[in-house]
Amino acid sequence: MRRLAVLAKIQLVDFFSKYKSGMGLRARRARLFLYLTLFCLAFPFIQMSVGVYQTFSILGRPESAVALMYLTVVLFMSFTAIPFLLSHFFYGGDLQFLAALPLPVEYIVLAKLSTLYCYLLIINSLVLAPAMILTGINYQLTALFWLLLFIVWLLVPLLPLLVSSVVALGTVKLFAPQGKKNLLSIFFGFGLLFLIIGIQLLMGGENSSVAEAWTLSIGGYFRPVQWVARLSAGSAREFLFFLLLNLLLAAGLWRLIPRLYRSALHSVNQTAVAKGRITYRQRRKAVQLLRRNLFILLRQPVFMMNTLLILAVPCLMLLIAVFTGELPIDLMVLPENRNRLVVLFVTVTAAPALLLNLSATAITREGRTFWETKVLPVEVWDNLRSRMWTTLIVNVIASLLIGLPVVLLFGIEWPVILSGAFFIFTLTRVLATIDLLINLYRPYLDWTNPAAAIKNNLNVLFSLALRPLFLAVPYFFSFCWTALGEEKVLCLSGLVFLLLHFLIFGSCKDLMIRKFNQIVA
Amino acid sequence: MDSGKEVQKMLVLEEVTKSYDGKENAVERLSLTVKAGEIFGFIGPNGAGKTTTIKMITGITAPTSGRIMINGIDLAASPVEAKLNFTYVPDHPEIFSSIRGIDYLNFIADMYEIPVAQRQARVEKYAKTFGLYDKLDRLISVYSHGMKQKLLICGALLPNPRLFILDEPLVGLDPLAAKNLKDIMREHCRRGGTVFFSSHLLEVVENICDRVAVINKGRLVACDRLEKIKEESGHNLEEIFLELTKDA
Ligand SMILES: Nc1ncnc2c1ncn2[C@@H]1O[C@H](COP(=O)(O)OP(=O)(O)OP(=O)(O)O)[C@@H](O)[C@H]1O
Ligand SMILES: [Mg+2]
Repeated sequence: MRRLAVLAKIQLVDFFSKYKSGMGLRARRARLFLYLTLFCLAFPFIQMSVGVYQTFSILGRPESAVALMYLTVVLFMSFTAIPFLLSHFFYGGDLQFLAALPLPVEYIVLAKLSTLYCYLLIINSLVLAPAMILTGINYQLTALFWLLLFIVWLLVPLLPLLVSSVVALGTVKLFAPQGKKNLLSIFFGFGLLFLIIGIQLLMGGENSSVAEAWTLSIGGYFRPVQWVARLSAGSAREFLFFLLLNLLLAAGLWRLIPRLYRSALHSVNQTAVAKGRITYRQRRKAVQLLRRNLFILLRQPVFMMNTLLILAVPCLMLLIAVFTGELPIDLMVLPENRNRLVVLFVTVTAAPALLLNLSATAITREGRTFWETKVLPVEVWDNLRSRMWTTLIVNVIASLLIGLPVVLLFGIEWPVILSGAFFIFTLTRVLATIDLLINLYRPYLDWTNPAAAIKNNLNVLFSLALRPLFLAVPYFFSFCWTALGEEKVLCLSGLVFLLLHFLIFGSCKDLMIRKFNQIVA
Repeated sequence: MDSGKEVQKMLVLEEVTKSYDGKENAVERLSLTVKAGEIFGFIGPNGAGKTTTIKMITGITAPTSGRIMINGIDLAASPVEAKLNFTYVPDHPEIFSSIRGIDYLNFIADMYEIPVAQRQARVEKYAKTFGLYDKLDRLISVYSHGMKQKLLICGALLPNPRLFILDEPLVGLDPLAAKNLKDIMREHCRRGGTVFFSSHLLEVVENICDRVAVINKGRLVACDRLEKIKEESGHNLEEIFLELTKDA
């Protein structure tokens, strides 16, 4: 048992340490920054939970909020857990290493699952707990009930854990032999996104009665929804049911362990074989470097998935907003809404530049293969430029793909398109340069889990933290000169970015080359 | 010298020092010269600084002080020209592996701008020598450790480099591949190329090296023709090695 605890702890530390990865900062400041960022990420969820409680407590049925949030959190956890299991367990790097240790199979699987469990508990605390606590306070529960609620809080992740394990097992069995594992992760990632955005829109104001009706009808089939709701309103009988159910779930999960282990080991050892003819073809050096950087981004499943998921956010928001009528096309195209329309067009199209900070991990992504480009007879500056171009190409393609539907849907006029394109291109360029500079200062090459390289490391957070400064530029212009047309604001801001870009290029080129040479591979 | 034609210096290290942490020196004031056309062995116990030295020669890490000249070109001053003169096989075959073997070889060939006909001939020659040719259409990620190493060796031979640098090249290769590699190294020298490699395997060093350098705790403790070192001490290489790298 002690060994299990140690193993679970290592797994936990390994998983959560990626949030702190790439130190180099003064530890206290870094931690403060980290907590601040995490708080910013957590806040919307808590706000949603509290908001739902408020809506229903006005209607006099606060326990409905608990029911709704329970349903939400179960769905949410399941969709989070599936990609988690796929990337950290089925295709995770360290399973082979763990398998070689003299440990019972149950320990290995439980240690992996316990990381996921902790992760789910955090989600639970953000989504379900606020509504549950507020409802409990509303009904003036006794200490005993608070204890029961605490146990419920601990038990809620069990169901999503079991569901996601079964689904992950099934999908791996079905699709992995065909080498479709990237597709799989992307599929579930998109599912999660749809869920989040859908829920957000559903919770908004007048839709709450619809949400409640759904919850009620689902609760008719899926009793735990009612149990949790009644329990938080002060009924103890339901706790027994809930406990019983979770004992059954735990037993089910236990039975699943050997299968999970076998299937995961099987899929770790399985890789799709690419066929094709052996051909000899000469390409230019610059083209080859660019291809290499693009391949690193697109053929590493975690990197590609991350890129696509980030890009999917603005697309889905837009889609859902249009379809649910939050963004009425006929109103937006009216002349008095021109200002809003331009802002919508530019922010949606600039989303890749703002959200995808590919340059901030341009060097980190190489990991232990970084030495390759250092040995090759390539000028450092060309090497760096090809990394910036990689970012640029991906961003521009993404902006085009996202911007085109908006142009067609809302009939954006040419002057706006052109000035917007100029704005976005210059913004993309200057951000690509600044991000690369960040990465050069903090290369962070010795990661083992690709997720640590591209997500949640401090470089990424830094570069995101810089983004608002750039958005302030157009706001500044339109604020100072209210008479200035939208196109002029965009052009002026673009010029500022262009100037900034040349300034950085002029003054930091030597610094960037020096920093690159200093990286210890 | 007496023939009037000065022997060309392919690799010169001048007082090269490397410190990773600013306190201890992993390599300390190392000076040595490798002449064109020789096979040069670089030996020393674990942690002596062999890999560190090779990383400095190949430009992977910059030396803290000192100068490295490759074929008469200062590595720090004109890195690209210097790098065109050598290729390198590391001790750990960690390369980007989501591409096929042939894609990797084409990539390397493009970096050294090798014409298609030449690269095809060399790929076929070397990949077939190592029994890798049939696997070139597979993703590198499914290669075994030894196969990756063979792929790296093939890639490093593609540009027919003046200086061929290898770090522990024989570790992880099967006996046939090891023999093939030794043959290739000898052949490379016969055609005027230079080989610089590090190794633990004394008998390999003894078999094929023209000269050896022994390094211990970052310092050069011997550097000469093998027969000369042996003559002077009257021991075999193993005894000499143990003697030289013994804790003082
Ligand atoms: N990246 C690094 N950071 C800090 N110290 C390092 C690093 N790489 C090597 N060292 C240190 O430098 C010294 C020399 O290491 P090096 O890898 O060059 O030895 P080696 O001769 O190649 O050994 P081996 O025979 O085991 O390969 C060692 O003391 C090692 O701890
Ligand atoms: Mg070594």
